[in-house]
Amino acid sequence: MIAARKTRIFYFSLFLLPAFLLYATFFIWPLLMGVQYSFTDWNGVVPEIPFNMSRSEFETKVIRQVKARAELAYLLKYYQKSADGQFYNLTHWIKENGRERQLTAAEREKIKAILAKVGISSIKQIGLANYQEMFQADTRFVPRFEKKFLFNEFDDLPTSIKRQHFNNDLLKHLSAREKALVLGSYQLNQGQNAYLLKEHLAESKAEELKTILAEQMYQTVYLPGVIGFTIFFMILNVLLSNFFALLLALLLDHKLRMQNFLRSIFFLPNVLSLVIVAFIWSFVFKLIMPAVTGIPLWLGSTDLAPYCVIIVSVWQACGYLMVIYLAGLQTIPTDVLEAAEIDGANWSTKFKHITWPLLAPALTICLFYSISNSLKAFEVPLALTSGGPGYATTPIVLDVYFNAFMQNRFGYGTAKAVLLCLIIILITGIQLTLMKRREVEL
Amino acid sequence: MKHKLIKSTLVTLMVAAFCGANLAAAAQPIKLNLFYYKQEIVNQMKELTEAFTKSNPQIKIELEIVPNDSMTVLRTKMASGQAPDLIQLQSYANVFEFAQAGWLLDLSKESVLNRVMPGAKNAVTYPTWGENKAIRGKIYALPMDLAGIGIIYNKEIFNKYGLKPPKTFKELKIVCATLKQHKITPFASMFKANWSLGHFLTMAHTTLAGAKLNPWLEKMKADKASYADPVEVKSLFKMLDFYKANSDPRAAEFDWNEQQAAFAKGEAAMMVQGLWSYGAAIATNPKLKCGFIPFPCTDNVAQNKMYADVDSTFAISAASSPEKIKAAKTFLEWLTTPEAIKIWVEKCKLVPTFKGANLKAMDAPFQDLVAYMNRNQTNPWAFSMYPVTVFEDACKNGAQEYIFGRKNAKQVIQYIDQTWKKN
Repeated sequence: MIAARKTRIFYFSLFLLPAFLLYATFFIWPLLMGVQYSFTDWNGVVPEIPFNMSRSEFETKVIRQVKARAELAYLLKYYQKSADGQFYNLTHWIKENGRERQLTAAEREKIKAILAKVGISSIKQIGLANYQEMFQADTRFVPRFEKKFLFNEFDDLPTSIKRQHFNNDLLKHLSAREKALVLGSYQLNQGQNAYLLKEHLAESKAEELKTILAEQMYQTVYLPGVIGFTIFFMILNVLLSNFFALLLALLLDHKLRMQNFLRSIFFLPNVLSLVIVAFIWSFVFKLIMPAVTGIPLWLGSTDLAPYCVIIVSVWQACGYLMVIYLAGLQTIPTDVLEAAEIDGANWSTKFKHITWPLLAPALTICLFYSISNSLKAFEVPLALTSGGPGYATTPIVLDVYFNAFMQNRFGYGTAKAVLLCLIIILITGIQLTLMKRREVEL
Repeated sequence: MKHKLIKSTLVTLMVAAFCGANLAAAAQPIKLNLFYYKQEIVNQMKELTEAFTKSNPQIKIELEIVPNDSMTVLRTKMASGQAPDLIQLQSYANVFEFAQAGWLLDLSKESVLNRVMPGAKNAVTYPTWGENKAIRGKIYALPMDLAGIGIIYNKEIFNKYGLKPPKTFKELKIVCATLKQHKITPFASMFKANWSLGHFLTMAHTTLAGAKLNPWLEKMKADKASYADPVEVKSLFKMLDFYKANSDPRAAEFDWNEQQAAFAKGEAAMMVQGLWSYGAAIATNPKLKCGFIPFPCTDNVAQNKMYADVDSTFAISAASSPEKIKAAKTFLEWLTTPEAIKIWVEKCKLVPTFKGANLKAMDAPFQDLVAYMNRNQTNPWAFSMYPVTVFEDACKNGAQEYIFGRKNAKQVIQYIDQTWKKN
C-alpha cells in the first residue's frame, strides 16, 4: 500500500522530525560544543557569564563600551549594584508579577552575547594550545623512553649485583671517580658471575656508595604512555576476545548436551556489573594468583598490571561476541556443509572454505564492536587498578576523566576526548570499508 | 473517522508528555538541598537535619551525598543550573575556586562567624594573593571540622615492645627497626591510589619548610620560586624512601580499605593518615587503642608540628532564591548551637571549629589532636593553598611515580614547578 502524500507528511512530522531533532540535540550539538570547549582552558567551574564584577571593572569595561542603549538597559536589568556599592552582581532571581523566578537559559544566552561583543567572557580561548600540549608537554600521554631507578637510598646496599646489570645499569653512567669508588667496594666473582659487596665497609664510604647507587643505577625503559597503552590494549583485547569468542561459538554450535546452559554460562560475565567483576578479579589477582604462580605482585606491578586488565576485559567481552558468532554460524545453510561432507571434505577444509568466508558479516560486526569498545575502555581499568600503578593501565578515557574532573582541566580533557573521537572514527571507518569489501554474499 | 481518532490521540499524548512536567507545582515548606561528601557521616547527617527540622518546622532539608568524585558531580550540577542550596566543601582551594567563580554567597558579615575559632577562618577567607582582587579578604563558608594528618599508632603494639611514640625522626627510625625485628610492618600504607602519598609529600614538605613556608608560598604565587626552595630536596625525598622501605612490599596494590584492614588487624603498628581514618579502623576492630602524633620529619622536636587544619566547611549557593538563602543562613546559625555541636561531636565524631565546644566525649586520638591545637603546635595544610592542579596532579602523581621508581627527586620537583608555572 502506498501511503497518501498527506499521511506521509503527517508521520514525517510526528516521528521522523522529532527523531532528527533529538539526534541533533543529543549528538551533533554536544559534539560541536565539545570541539568548541577543546579550544579553551575552561576549568569546569567558571560560569559562562560572570556572576559578579567589581564596580570599576563593570563601569569601564561594560557600561562605557556597550554602545546600543537597549542592550545596556538589558544588562543593567540583570546586573545590580551590591549593597556596599563595590560590585555589580548578577541577579539569579527576578521578581515578576509578584512572583520570583529564576533566570531563563535564553536570558543567559542574550547576556552572554552582549558581553561577548565587548570582549568579556569567562572562558579564555587558547586555540590549539591544548592539542600541542598533549603531544609535547604531557609526559604521560605519548610513548617515550625514561629512566627507571633500581636502588632506594634507604635500603641496605645490595650484597650482590649480576655482572650484566652491574655493567649496563651502573658502570656506564659513572664518572671516573665514582667508578673507582664503586669498583673499590664491589668485587667481581667469576663463579657466580656477579659483583659482590666487600665486607666491613666504612660507614662514610657506604653512605656515599648508597647515594651513587640511588642516583646512577637505572635502566632506560620504554613507557607506553596513555596512547601506547590504549593501542596495546586494543590490539590484544580485540585479537584475544574474538579468538576465544569464535572458539566458544564453534564448540557450542555442535549439538552438545547442556548446550543452552553452557551458552548462558559463557554469556553471564557480560551481565554482571563491571564493578563486581573487578572485585572478583582483584580478589583472584591478590590471593589466588600469587599462591598458584608464586609471583607475589600482579595488580601492583607495572609489568603485569596491563595484562591483568586485558585478561579481565577478554573474559568479560567473550560472551557477548560469542553470541554474535553463534548467530552468524546459524545462518550458514547446512546443505552446503553436507554437500562438502559428501565430497569428502574434512573439518578444517570445511571451516576454511565454507564457515570462515560465510562468517564474514559476523566478524565485521564483532571487530567493529570490540575495536570501538577497547578504545573506549574505562570501567575495568578504573575499578581494577584505578589506572595504576603509576600510569601503567590508564587508557585515554580514564586520562580524560582524570584531566577534566580530578585536575580541573575541562578544556584539556575535552581536547583529548575529541582526539579520541577522531581516532575511533578513523580506525573503525578503515576497518569497516576493508572488511565490507571481502564479505561474501550467499 | 477511526484514523482521525488515532491521530488526534497520538498528538494529544505527545503534547501532554511535553507539558506534563510543568503542571505539578504548589506552595510547600521551604525545601533546602544539602550536598555533602563525607561518607563517614551518612546516618549522622540525617539525624542532624532531623533535629534541625524539629526546631525549625518550616524548613526541610533534603540530603544528597556524593562520596567519591563529589567535585565532578557538583561542577556538573552548577553548570546545568542546579546548584544545591547548601554545599559541603573542602577548605581552602575548593572554597576559593567556587568563590572566585561567583557561586558562593559572601558570609563575611554574618554573625555566625563570631562563634568560629579565629585560627579556623583562614581556611575560608579568600586569600590576599587570590586572582580576583575585588573579593580578597571576604569569607565564603562556615568552617565545620578540624582534622589532622599524622601517624595513628596502635598503643597495644607499642606497649608490648616497650616503644614510646617517637618525637624525632631518629626515634622513629628506632621504632621502625624494632617493629621490623618483631616481624610487624611499621606502616600500613596505600600506594595504589595517589592521594595518600600526595598528603605525605606535602606534609613532609611543610614540616621541613617550617617558618619558611609562608614567605615561600608568596614567592611561589609570583612565579619566583621553586618547590625545592624552602627545603633540602634530599631530606624531603628521604622521607618517601623511608616510608616505602618501612611499608608492606605489597603496598603498591593496597587501597584505603586494605590499609585500614592491615592497621585494624594489628598487622601494622602505624598508619600515616588523616584522623578521619580512625573511625574506619575502630569500626573494624572496636577494641583498638590508638594514639595520634605528628609525623616527625626532623630531629628537632619543636619543628615536628601536627599537620592539622579545617577539613570541611558549609557554604551557601549565591544562585539560590532569596527565601532559600535566608533559610540556609538559619541552618548555619543552628549548627553553632550546643544541641548541634553535641551531635557533631558525639555522633559524627568530628572536632568542631566553634568556640567553647565541649569535647570531653571524644576518643583519645581526637584529644591528642586538640592538645596539639591548644598548644598551637600545628602547621596549616599547605596543599590546600597550592593551585588545584599542582596538588591533584603534580604532587599526588609525582609522589606516586617516585615511589614506583618512575621519576627521581629532581624530575618530581621539576614537574611540580612546571605545573605551578602554568597556573
